[in-house]
Amino acid sequence: MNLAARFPEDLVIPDLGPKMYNAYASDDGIKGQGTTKLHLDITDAVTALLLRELITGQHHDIRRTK
Amino acid sequence: MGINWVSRIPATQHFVIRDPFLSLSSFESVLPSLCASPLSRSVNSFVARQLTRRQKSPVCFRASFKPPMDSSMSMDHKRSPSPSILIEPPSPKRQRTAPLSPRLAQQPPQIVEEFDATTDSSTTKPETRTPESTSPAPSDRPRPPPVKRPGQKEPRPVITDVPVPLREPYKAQGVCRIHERKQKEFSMCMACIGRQLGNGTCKFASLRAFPPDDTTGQFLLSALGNPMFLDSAPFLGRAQREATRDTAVKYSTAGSSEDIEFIKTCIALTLKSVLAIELANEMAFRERGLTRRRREAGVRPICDGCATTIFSGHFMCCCCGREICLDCYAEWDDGQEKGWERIDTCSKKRRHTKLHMVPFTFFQEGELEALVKDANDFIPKESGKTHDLEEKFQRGQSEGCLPFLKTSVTDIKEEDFKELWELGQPIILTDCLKRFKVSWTPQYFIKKYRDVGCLLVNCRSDKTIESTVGKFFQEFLSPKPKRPLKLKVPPPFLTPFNLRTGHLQMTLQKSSHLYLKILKKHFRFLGIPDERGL
Repeated sequence: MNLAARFPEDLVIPDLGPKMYNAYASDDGIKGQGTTKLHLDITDAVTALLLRELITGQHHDIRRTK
Repeated sequence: MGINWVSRIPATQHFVIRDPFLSLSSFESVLPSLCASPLSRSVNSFVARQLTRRQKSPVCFRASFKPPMDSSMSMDHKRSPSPSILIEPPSPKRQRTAPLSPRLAQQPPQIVEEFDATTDSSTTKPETRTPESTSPAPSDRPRPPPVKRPGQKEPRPVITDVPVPLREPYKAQGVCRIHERKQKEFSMCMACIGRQLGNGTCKFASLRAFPPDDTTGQFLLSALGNPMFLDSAPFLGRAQREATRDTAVKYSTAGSSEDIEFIKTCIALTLKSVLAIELANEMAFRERGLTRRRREAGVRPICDGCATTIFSGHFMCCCCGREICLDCYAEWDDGQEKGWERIDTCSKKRRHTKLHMVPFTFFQEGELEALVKDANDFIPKESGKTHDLEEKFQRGQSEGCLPFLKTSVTDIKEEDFKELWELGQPIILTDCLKRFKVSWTPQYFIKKYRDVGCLLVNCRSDKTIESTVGKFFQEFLSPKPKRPLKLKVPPPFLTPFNLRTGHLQMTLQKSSHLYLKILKKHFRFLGIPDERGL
């Protein structure tokens, strides 16, 4: 259900995403922050993890959030 | 500032140029022979370097010239074949102190004035001035005019303009700037003062009215302090009047009445609470000059205080047009002189209070009440199904995590998902990838967007790097990337997806400097969407 698509052309549609997020593996270890700090999204979010590769013990992510 | 002051400064002078683009061009036109020299190149590279640093303040740099042999011929430096030039990086402490002041003081006063005019318009911070610069100059030097210190603020007077109810005869105003040219006493809105007509129109055009003066054709001078506001003012712009709905939109999925029902149920509770605040505001100001406005197509009204969207009710200063939302208005204590500057700043270094604010709403008479009634019908009722579902989809637990629900996307029905989603608990659905239309792999992005410019964030240092999508994913594939980079593609004003068709449309223009500049400002990656989709 794509709510934003139902908006009339002459209105400013709400920013629902999607956005893509890609990052290399972080190397800051177990207690590190990773590449995205812990946060709480203001609205509900659907996140799709689309690629995770195990390369020399590190994870790389491609995610799509909507 | 422009060509004039540059040409009037003798060749011996140090000077500070603040606006890199404006000054550079005027500079080049005045001193063509210099620009053939290394100066131009170093200036350009310097400006480029400053831009990549995402400086908020205007870029400034210093250039000093060694004069030609005969320094009495002040304009001779134009013909000097190779004057030696020194470009220094901006050093805020040195801008107004030792190296500058003594040299400046030797110049005729008008140049000092010019110089001060340029510095005053910039955003010099108080701490950039050291005590020496304010100490009295020796008597043999002409003293530069006193410079106002931003830290020492004089009390701002409260404006005298007071809005009055609309009554005949009146004449609606156009763009403030045009009226101000004819009547100096006319108070312009903040958009017109800031010459922002390009990106936001005049705040008062067609909205504010004054009684006309029949003899001059202008507004009555004595009534300029008592503006009136039109209820449901007509739109001014042609684009606004012609804004029409495109009925020929092709949607990726057809909407049904169940969808509408579902959405209304989703938003009813939140909407009701927002409408309740609006209704309370409307009741409070209905008898106190509440003015109705029409919603403008393609415009998202933003509060000038907190920069968030205005839903409907808001207040506008009758003198400067500052618009503030209901929350800011409620929080604002207007009795204090040292107030909330984003809210109480008015034109001409004055301030306004709640007395000068005109209440506005975007709702028509009775519209709000009808909406509240409608929203009430869609408030969701408790369903007994949730408990059964919770038993069916057990929450798994793994070490270090709170319990979460995990199931394959093929095993759960949409209605069940909605019920569970409503609980506000995380859900993990597996086997989604085959439902995506494009291949979400580094190879795909390299092939598709190799040379597209983008901004990368180094997660260790939080610094932004200019790069291309291709380079990013090349390193992504390498076994040992040098640094943890991330590429974010958020869509705030240009989404990579066509919302209506669901197609990815991230075909970007190469090396679009304007966009990279916007990106830097917003710290975001975006592209120019190609309407053809994929």
